[in-house]
Amino acid sequence: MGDHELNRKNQYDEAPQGEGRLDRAKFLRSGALAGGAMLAGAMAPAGAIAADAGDAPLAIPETNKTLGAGVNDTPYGMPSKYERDVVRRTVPFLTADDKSSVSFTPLQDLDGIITPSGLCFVRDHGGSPMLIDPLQHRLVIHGMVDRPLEFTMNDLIRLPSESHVYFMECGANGGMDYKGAQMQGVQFTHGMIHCCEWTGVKLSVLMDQVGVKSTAKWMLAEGADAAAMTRSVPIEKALDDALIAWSQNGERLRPENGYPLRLVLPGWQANLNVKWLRRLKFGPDPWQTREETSKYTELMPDGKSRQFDWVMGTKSVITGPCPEKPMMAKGFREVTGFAWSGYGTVTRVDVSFDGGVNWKQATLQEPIYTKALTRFRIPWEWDGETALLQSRAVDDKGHVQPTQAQLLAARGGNAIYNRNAIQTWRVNPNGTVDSVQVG
Amino acid sequence: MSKSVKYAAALAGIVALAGFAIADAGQQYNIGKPVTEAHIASWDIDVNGLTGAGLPPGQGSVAQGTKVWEAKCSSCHGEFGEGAGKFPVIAGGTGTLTAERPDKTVGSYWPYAPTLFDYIKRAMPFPAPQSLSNDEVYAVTAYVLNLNDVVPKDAMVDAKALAAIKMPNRDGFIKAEWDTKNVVCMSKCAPAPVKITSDLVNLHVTPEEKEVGNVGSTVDRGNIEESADTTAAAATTAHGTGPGAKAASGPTFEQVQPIMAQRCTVCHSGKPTQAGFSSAPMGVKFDTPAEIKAQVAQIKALTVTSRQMPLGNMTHMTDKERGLLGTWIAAGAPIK
Repeated sequence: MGDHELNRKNQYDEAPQGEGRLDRAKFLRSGALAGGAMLAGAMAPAGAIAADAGDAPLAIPETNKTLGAGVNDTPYGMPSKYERDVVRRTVPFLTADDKSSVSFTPLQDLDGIITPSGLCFVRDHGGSPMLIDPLQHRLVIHGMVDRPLEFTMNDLIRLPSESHVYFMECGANGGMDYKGAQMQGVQFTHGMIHCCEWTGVKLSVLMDQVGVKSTAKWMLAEGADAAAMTRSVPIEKALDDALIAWSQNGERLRPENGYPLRLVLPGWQANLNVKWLRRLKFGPDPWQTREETSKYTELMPDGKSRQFDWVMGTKSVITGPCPEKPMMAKGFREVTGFAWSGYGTVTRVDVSFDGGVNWKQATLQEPIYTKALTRFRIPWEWDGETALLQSRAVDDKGHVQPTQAQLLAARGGNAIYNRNAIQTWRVNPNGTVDSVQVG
Repeated sequence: MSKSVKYAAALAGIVALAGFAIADAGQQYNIGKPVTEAHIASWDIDVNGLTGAGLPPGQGSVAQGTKVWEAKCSSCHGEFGEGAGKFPVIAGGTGTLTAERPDKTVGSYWPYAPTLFDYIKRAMPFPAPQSLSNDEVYAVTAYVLNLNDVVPKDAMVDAKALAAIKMPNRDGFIKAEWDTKNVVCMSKCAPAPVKITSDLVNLHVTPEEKEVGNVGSTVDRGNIEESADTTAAAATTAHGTGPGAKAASGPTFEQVQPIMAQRCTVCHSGKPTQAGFSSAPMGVKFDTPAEIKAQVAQIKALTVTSRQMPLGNMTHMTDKERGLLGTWIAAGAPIK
């Protein structure tokens, strides 16, 4: 008992951030220990929930009897202190330095389809410039154009603008699990994605202003960060739906998401959506930059590498339950999650509870936007036995999300990027949820 | 026609066949300031990896590059490009692209030499980008190419020389396309029950709650906390209160091997990947089950009891992993 007790004590008492849930856990633990039920191994979830609610009559809460905070005590509003666990997190062993690293979106805590700006994952290659003055920032467009131009932010916002909801996913999202299950938690297996409403000017409008020559086939986009990030974009994408955005979820971009200006290439690998955008250059060939040759290419078992895998594949994941959101009780629990496709619109999501043997079609929540996260839901009566939960997305171009076995067969285990395999969550009889892979 | 030329032509074809309407047909708003090449010269630093277009005047030798490298690059990338910590390995790796653990370096992986100039110029040294002169960038480029046996020790590199180099992995890339064929099957889609091929429950690489850079609790506590906690604790102490037989029967070699592979074999291997080690320290290797088994006494003494290993805990072995190793050894270190 000794080690066990110590382990538990440390875990609770030294986690000051988890205050709200901590109290609840302590309460439940003491109740459970008193009842002597928990350590017997067979858990009685329904009983524990009842203990939480208690039988005492409801008291009039203090909040009914005292005045609350003033309307402008927090001029920029913040989440309740009980939501302090809803934060971005990192996997420190992944990278050499936190300036060239990634933080993960807490997908397990999101509802609907919009990612709050402060929770959007951040992938930087040379840190986030925090002090770019929008009055000093410039966008230069040149190369194979008739009229090279320089735009201020005030110039850009005079132009016709549009707003669209798009997901943005890092090419490395899920890459740690290519060979096998490695990350315990949907935040880490799938959290290099966010979905925001972006506002800006269509890139095609700016291309009209500079007069891109017909011989130009590619565009280089460059950032104003310490990596001076550069990626090549084929001109057909630039003319199609690319946006030069200054706003995210109704307010100006957050510094770590590209303030004051970024490229938005709907459905395409997030690395191409260059942040802190300062320059666009048109030319005849792809630039073959470091990030599109030595990185963001998928090494195959035969030694060849897939290059320019721009479009993020059709994909989905269940976010409730998941390792961070275990099953609280036997019986009913709505199963929910996200589906998306860089190719277009999600048309269907199926859910399996037996590891992919049998499937049921889930309901898709309106609105369903192209190249945006789509929320799916399906009812579930859990019998308390081990279950293997999976979700499978289909898009309007006919792509069906592959199984882990299919993706492994196609690419091997060293591809790192653009992994869109079906995720399996094992729900254990005690309610915990593990990331596993099935054959 | 070489494969890479074919690939380049195919890329051009993708764009040409798309039949886009070129810009310039839309409305002109007369917004934006016309600029000259001179005005934007300091920003216009891109170099095309394929053609070398944009490479500036200047030159540098391997010898000059050695000095710049030692002063400004080797602290992260190692004296000979072997990499320090988790910073990228620059040299070596030839012939490893089809291996279980490929080393993707400039010599083994990068397809174009001018890309090296472009990247060093814009983004290196990591803490002081755009601080090197063009001659220094050419020199470092020459040094890195020499480390990878692409240019000789006495090479002098300039725009023309860089554009003419054919890198070893030049033909190693193909255009990515959708490459899987799943179908919307609804019943009896796989033989039941399905087989678990990968289970991370005892891998313990997911960041702990208090790990640097993270705050808060990752898992909802609720009423299952006792059981969830028991899973980890039971694996360590084997007192059998946890769910499942795994805990009751003690750690298996399948749980031990990933820990050794992740925390120990960066050095203790016939082929160490850690900077500064060309062979296994003290000749101790953990590449095979038999090699691990042969060293259990040392593992217990240095890793579980005195915690001297891993050195400086550079591979971040967790307490749970040390506990698991100890329990496994106490149970006779079965490799089954």
